[in-house]
Amino acid sequence: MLHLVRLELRKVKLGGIVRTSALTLLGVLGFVLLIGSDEAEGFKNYEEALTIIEMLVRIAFIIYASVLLSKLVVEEYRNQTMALLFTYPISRKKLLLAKLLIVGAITFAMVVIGTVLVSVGFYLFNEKLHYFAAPLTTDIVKTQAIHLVVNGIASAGMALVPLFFGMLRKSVPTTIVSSILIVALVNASNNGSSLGENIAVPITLGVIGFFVAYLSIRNVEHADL
Amino acid sequence: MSYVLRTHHLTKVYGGKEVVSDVSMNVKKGEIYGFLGPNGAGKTTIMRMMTNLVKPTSGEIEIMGEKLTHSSYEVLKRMGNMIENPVFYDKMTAQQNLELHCEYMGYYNKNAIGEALKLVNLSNVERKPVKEFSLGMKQRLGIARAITTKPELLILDEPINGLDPVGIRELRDLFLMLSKQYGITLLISSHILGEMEQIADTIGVIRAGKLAEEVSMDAIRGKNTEYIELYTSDATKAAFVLENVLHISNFRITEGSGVLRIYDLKVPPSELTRSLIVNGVPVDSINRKNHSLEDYFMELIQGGDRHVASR
Repeated sequence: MLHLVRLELRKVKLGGIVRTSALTLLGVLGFVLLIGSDEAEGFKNYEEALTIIEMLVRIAFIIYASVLLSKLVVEEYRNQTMALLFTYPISRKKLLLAKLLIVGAITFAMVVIGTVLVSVGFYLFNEKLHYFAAPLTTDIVKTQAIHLVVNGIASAGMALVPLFFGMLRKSVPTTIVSSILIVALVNASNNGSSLGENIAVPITLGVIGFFVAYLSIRNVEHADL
Repeated sequence: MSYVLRTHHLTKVYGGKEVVSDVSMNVKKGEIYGFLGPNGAGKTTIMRMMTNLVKPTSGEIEIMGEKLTHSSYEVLKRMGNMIENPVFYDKMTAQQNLELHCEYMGYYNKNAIGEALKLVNLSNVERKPVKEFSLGMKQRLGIARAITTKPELLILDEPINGLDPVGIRELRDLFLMLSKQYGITLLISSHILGEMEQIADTIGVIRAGKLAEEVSMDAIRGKNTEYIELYTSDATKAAFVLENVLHISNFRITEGSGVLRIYDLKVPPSELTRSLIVNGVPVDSINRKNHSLEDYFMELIQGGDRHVASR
């Protein structure tokens, strides 16, 4: 399996992924600093700031995951290279699993690492610019850390949901649009409370995501290409 | 005689329509099997079933003595294939594509890739991504990929598509070489009769999803008939002379064209010409001809009901 993952990565070029991710994170940091600079509507304390940061990073990387899914799965079907892969002496399930593993792992890693990096960045800026005075306590860090890991796993699952829609017609736009709709749905804020704030919701969606991923590869051994 | 590839009553139904029906073919070890048929006859579908891409509706495929199932992965290692237009990872070079292929196939021989590229005569493409290749180059690369891992069975779907005459000739030599020197069994599909005729040991003719004929080239050559072709502006008179003066009844008038084919060769052409002229039949031209393989196959392919019925 590790071998398959490595071969997949040869096709997508990790360097590109890292570069895109770095740019995305810079964008998120800029956005957060912009929110922070608004005195009336800005953050009041670290809990609020870190929650928003985590949410933004999550949104960005779930959408980015749909781009990866498009590249690794949907496009391979579209330009027939999937047929090439399926003539290899390797189980189709394993081939697809390797691809989904990459998307899931990158999403998880990027949500966690990205949130930490942006949070650290925000902390450094706040120390200089003093958006708010409330201190960053170890309690806050601990709670956020647990929250982050759980949300990272849930995000990895959620990131796979667009595959289901994309695979219906093997369409890249459908894959990406469905991921945008999913994050919009989960994070839409209604009177300040969004679906995503209740930790049960992203977890449920994450579980659904893994299930959907399973569904989309379940019949692959018997499908015609 | 051992068979490398056999199908038993292979059938594939798409949307209620039988695309491939009841095909039982037998590919012997070491031979070149020419798979002949017009476009859309079902050749590609059959080949996709053989490479495990498409699952048969009924019937089965046996490769190297094993029944092909959806989890027959090991046998795929011993096969090379190129189905339809070969696809590649476009942004990678030829070398990178083949390296990836070898990794997936579990074949590790550093020299194999270079050798394969050399065999198909694809050179000076080190830096070029495959998307910049011409159709002919892609075709060559596809064949290189199929033979890199030194398979025992090579399945090639229309391999000479998009090649120029020189390229076609090179590939023909390559196929013969692979067959003779490496003992590779080749299944090659084509709709071009002339090509198949030159390299195949056995020919399978497919028409409208059915295997119309499976016959060895030697047998076909034996079936070859000679005849005399007569061009005249008065076919009716010529027919009268043939029948009543020369007592030849085994001939055919090609409709409306003033061409007669005389299959009865007991009267030599010189004698024939003399009699015709003496009897006032205008002879424009007279030739001794072979009923070519092309004619034979055209009849088979284009609803050659006569042949099918007489089997």
